[in-house]
Amino acid sequence: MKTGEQAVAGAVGSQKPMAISLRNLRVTYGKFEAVKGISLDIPQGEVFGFIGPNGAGKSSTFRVLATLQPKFLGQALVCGLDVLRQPQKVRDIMGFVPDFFGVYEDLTSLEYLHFFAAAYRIPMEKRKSTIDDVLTLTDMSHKAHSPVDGLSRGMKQRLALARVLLHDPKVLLLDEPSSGLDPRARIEMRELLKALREMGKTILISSHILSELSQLCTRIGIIELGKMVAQGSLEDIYRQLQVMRVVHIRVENASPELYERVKQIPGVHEVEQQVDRWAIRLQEHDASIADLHESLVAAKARLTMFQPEAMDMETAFMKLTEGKTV
Amino acid sequence: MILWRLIPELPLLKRELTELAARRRTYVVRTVGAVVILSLAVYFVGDALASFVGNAFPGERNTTLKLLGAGAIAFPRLVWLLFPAIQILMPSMTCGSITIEKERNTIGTLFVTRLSPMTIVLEKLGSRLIPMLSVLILTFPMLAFVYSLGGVDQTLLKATIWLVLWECLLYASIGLLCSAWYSTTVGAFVASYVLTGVLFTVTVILDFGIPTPFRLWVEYSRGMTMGGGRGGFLQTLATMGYPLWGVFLATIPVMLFVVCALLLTRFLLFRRAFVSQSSLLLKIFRRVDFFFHNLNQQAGGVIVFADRESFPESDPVAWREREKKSLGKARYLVRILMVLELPVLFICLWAAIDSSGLPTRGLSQLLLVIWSVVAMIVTMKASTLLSSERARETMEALLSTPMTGASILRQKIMGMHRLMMVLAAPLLSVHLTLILMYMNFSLSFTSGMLFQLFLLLMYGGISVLSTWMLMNTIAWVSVLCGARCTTQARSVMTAMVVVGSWICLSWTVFAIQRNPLVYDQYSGANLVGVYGRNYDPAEIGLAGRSFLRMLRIDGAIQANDELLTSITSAAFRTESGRYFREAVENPVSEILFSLLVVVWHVGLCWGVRWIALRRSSRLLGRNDENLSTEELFGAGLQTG
Repeated sequence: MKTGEQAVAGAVGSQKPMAISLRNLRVTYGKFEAVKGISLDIPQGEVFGFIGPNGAGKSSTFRVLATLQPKFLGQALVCGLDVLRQPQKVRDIMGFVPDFFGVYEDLTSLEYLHFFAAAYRIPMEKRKSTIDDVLTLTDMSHKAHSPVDGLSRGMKQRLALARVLLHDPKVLLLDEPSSGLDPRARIEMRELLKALREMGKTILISSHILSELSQLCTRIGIIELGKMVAQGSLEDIYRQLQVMRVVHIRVENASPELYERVKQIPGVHEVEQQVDRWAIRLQEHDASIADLHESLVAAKARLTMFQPEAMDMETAFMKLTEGKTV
Repeated sequence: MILWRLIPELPLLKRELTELAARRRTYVVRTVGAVVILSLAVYFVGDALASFVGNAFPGERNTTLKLLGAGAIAFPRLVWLLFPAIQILMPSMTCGSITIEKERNTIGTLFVTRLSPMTIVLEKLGSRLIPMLSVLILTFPMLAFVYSLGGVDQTLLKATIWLVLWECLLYASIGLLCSAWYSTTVGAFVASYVLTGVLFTVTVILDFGIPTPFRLWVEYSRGMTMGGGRGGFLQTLATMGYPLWGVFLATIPVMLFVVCALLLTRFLLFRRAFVSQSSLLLKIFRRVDFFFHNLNQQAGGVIVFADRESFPESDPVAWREREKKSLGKARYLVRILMVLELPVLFICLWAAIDSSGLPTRGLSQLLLVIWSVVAMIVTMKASTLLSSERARETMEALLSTPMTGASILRQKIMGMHRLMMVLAAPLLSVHLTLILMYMNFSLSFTSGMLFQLFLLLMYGGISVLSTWMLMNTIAWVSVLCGARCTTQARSVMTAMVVVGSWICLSWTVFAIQRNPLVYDQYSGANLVGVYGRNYDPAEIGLAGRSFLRMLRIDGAIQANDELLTSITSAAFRTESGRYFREAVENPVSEILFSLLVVVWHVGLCWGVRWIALRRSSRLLGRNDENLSTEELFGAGLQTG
């Protein structure tokens, strides 16, 4: 498993220009050390998922990158710009959606976007078209004249995304964008983020909904107690952690002999007999799903169901973290 | 052990005291409070002892013996300190006791427990009373020392303890009542101090004979030490030798008031538990708006300023404050202007047609009243400019934009300018009335009249400048105070305490030192802190007065008042009442000194603004590059 500097060295080795680069980042609040030496490199165009329990240091890291943390140790660069020395320039190329955010209750959606367009110094002649574009992209055009306070949480999240897209930033920092959303709004948000990924934006996203990150992110980092405990692609992390895939099968000719033969198949770690099926725990680095299917047929199993479970990110998360943070 | 078990568990009281003990602020406030109270106590007692030793036995050599009986003088002075301390501290300590539960949404949780409403009220009362008494206990060593000097009757000591306790209960019950009624701590804070002020005015200043513990103690101690006693019940007590039970009886009205206030608090606890939170100021102005809206309907519904969707061009923060907030919209402000201006114009008109000479002093006092209201509104509004963003969680989104911290602060204050203009209108109306009143229209068109006209125009110009600068100074000071606070209540309280303390600064410094500049050696009255020139004693030199006005946040207004009286000195000489100085010093030097004070205050305003902009990134809590000179001076000169 790659941790900290190893993973950073790997990413640097790819020679891609870095959108985000953290070196030995340390953030302290009084005597409490929230971030303890995180190093991270995110190449441009990548979607990086930041996972960790509450209080692990995710939001502190986001605040550093968003230029909202006046004091920290280490180095933080956004597109090569030093967060501490060139915060104004960083704000020009970065969009930040905090975990908790309010909206100005006295404005309509359109006024809200005009407010931030002026704050981002978008020229007057370009403002209307830019705002129309982001409203269309976030599917908020029909709510343009609605008071912001009356929007649903999902709509507010989309409006927040529209806000950070106004100045066409290269880097998006999204802290828990899906928290508190209903399933429909969550799916819509995921589709929107996919569209942004297609547009080539570099996205650093944190979430508690792990399955969501697995569908969206090119790489993930798992953080606990202010330390990065693992980072890399999902496949890498599963492989490194030896997370086993569960495959559910149903056979017509179930017998103790067949059960013994299945247990002997290379890569099979355990076979659990359930009421209507067998659950096979497969070590994927020894045998792939296709290999297992082939071996089962060779063992004369008459399959009526062959159902591999999706990658179990929760297991990875639980294995990597010790639940010391709340 | 059995007795210990008889004491009920009091979980709410325990929680409140534990919370209080866990806060660092508690210890800071107590330490500062202790230092202030003990310093004043040491000063008052020391002063009393010095005068006793100096006057009582002039030929005596043994100083220790000379001190015998000095407690009779030192004791009342020391106790005198306790009552104002209670009146100042108790409302602020109790006003948040119930509102804080409403603000945190924890009041519902309290209601579903087995605690009865009266238990909740009493435990809340106890949780505020205990810290107050712990502050008062700090003076006990001084009281013990004074008592040991002799001259203090035991009955007086017991009566004092009894009355101090009821003074605490009286103001605590007022604070609790406000806390039960209002939904926010800010509302309860303002209301409890307004009620305290009204009670103080009615009982102490206007002397309506209402037996508050303070009033009773003053009469009782005076009667015991000097003999006699004023009126009714206390007169009867005097004839009976001031028995302790008499004091108990005299406090019955206070006891009844406290009981009624607590019962009313209990009654309101449920009924006002879930009232919606809205700005007190906004609520008042909305009422005003509603009244004018109805009035406008009667007049045919003429719309001069209509609400419409508008967009910002370059300064979005200022745009939102101006166009989208109720206290910035022209429609609302015109109505507020009408409410403030009409009574002021009426009084000014009355003053102008009255020829007795009294109205000049009346207008001066009116200026003070309007200034108090204006200062309060500006302080409340400015102190919550940033904390409201934090409370509504809109701050981080704002800070992640490329606007600099200085620009955000500057725009926030710019957004208040409309409101400031409206608030300045009644003040300037008073100044204009004063100009017209002092203008001698009977003079022929000579160089003398031209000179007088020039001076009055200068007064008018400086009035506008000083009014504007003072409002800006208060606004910037309030922004500085409220910037780091996370709740609006805390930011308002902090700003009000700082602005109030600043206003009292010169009074405190000079009154304690008995500086001859400010102390009337003939009457013995303390003459600082009263507005305008009218109360200045002749003993205060021009330089001294100017120095005092440089110290005060509102000194420019006083200097302006001085300027008016100087340039119209002829008018004053004819009205040489006891409030006026008999001889006016050289008018030119008075004008120059007044100008110096005004210039100082312009500089002060600029300085406070510069500090706020310089520290903007720290106040807002983010990284900022070094500010450009234009950001600090240039742009601000035009707009901020």
